[in-house]
Amino acid sequence: MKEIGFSSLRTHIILIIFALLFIVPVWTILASSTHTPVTILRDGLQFWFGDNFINTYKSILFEHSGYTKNVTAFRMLINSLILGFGFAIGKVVISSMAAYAIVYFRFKLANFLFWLIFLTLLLPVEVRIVPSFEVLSKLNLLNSYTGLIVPLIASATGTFFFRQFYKSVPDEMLEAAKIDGANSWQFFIDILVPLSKTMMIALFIVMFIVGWNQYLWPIMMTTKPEYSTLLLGIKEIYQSNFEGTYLPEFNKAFAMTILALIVPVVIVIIFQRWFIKGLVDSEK
Amino acid sequence: MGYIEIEKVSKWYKKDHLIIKDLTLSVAKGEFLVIVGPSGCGKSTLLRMIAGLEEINSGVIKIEDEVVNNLSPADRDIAMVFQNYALYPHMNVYKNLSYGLKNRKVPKDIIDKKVKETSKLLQIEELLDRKPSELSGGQRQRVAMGRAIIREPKAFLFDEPLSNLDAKLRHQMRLEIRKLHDKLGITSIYVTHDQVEAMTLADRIVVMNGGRVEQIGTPDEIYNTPASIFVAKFMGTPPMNIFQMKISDGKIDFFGTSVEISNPDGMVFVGIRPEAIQDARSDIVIEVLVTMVERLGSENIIYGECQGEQIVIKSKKMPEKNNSMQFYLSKESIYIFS
Repeated sequence: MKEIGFSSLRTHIILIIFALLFIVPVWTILASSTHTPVTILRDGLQFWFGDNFINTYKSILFEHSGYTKNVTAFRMLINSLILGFGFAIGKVVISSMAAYAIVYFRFKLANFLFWLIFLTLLLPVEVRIVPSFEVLSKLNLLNSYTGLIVPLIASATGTFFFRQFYKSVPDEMLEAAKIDGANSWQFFIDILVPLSKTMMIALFIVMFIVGWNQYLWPIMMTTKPEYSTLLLGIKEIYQSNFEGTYLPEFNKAFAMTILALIVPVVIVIIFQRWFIKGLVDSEK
Repeated sequence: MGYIEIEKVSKWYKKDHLIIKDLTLSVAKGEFLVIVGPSGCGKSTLLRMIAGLEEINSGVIKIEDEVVNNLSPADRDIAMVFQNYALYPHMNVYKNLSYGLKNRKVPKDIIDKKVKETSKLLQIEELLDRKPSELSGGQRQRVAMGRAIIREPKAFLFDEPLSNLDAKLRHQMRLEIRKLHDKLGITSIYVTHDQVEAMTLADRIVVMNGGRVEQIGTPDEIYNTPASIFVAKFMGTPPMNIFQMKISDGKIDFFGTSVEISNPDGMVFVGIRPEAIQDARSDIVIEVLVTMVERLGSENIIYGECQGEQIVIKSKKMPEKNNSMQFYLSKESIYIFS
């Protein structure tokens, strides 16, 4: 057997401590969510599964809840998925195409426009949230998926990454494709997109999580509960637990938290494989 | 009329700095033309202008009697082999070969047939499923050539295609390119800075310098009757020895031997190829103080001084350093450039 040295032991202890720090809260919430609200109120947080798992999750997923009692967590989950995918896919598509235009089409002001886009990195969403809201309300896009997603999908970071990547693709590649009779669109789809697949997946993962975790924008954009996302649902369910006159149902709140957590984790796990695969076998 | 006509073509990026100056050139059908010159002489730019990758600022380029100035590269029906091959890294060899045909909407079964033929011709049949990253330099080179051949274009354009290969492979691929050309007979324009490639591959050589054509001719013509000192020095290794001498009374004093020259009196440049200086007795004898010797195996390159002038000699002799030696050359081997 291989001997475990002191330093390796120390490393492991540190790693285990930190792993516990991250896992224990999630575990507690997961375990507690399978108990009845009464148990949680009486005995506090639980560290092992109870027998109320199916009940809790069935009721939050399929029973109408919230103040107005007309939205299920399932609906919110779908909304969150639409926002997350729309946000991430939109960002990848828009920023790769914007970067393609900036790098490969020599039009006047291309550089200036790039830096203009780049400058918007300095402006967080919060700064432009009031004008954005104004524009969308005038376009009648409040309470719609379009309004929820479209204003967010332009990405300076993404454009910058793609621009740097495209600049590193040798010019001969474009010339060879030109001689091979590819038009601009074919060059983009047949050559650049497959070459930047890894980058696209990386950007997609990051942006999906950012999109999934959007809070301020959806809360402003949606007033109808049918459009509310999981994160808004969590806020609402905790709020009604603390302020409501019913018996606080912490098991449901915890279950909602678990739901909000599970999707990004699954997405990261799935796409990480592709991401690593792309890193291993791609080259320019 | 040539197959590819380049008429009074100029190229500039800034109006006052011409890359190519008023260049006229004609390429015959089926010819293997090599454009050679030092880096920055405009040879690659010229090739790229023929390909349609660079704009032509003035003048006309015709392919098969059709003015192509404003045609896109794809419409000119030419194929190009790039220095770094420019293979599509994410496509396997089959797809790399067929991409151009696919874009031209050639039916699948014909593409398949052509890929098979081309890969057989280039002996890359077993590599069709591989990606470029899994190929060696020589194999990539073959695929790059295959991508050009498969379309059966009007002309092949080669942009220093062998400069990324090691010496041995370069030699082998050089022979193969020439063999392929003899087999396919497609008009080829080949740009290189390597004069050995130019000499071995070309039907005709174009020597370019500073955006101008210095000389056009067969390899023999270029080597035996260089039109200028530039051509004389550029073609041949080691380069020709050039001395400045004075003609008086129709004669020059060539290191002690009087040689009759038909040029009018005045200063001239006198050239002598290193390989023309021999050990065997001949008309002129020169006394050389050997300063350096490079061994090449079959022969040696001797660097020396002759009456204060630097001189390079290619010889089978292996003299000692700092020794004086006698070498001979014939009067006929002297070049005069005025």
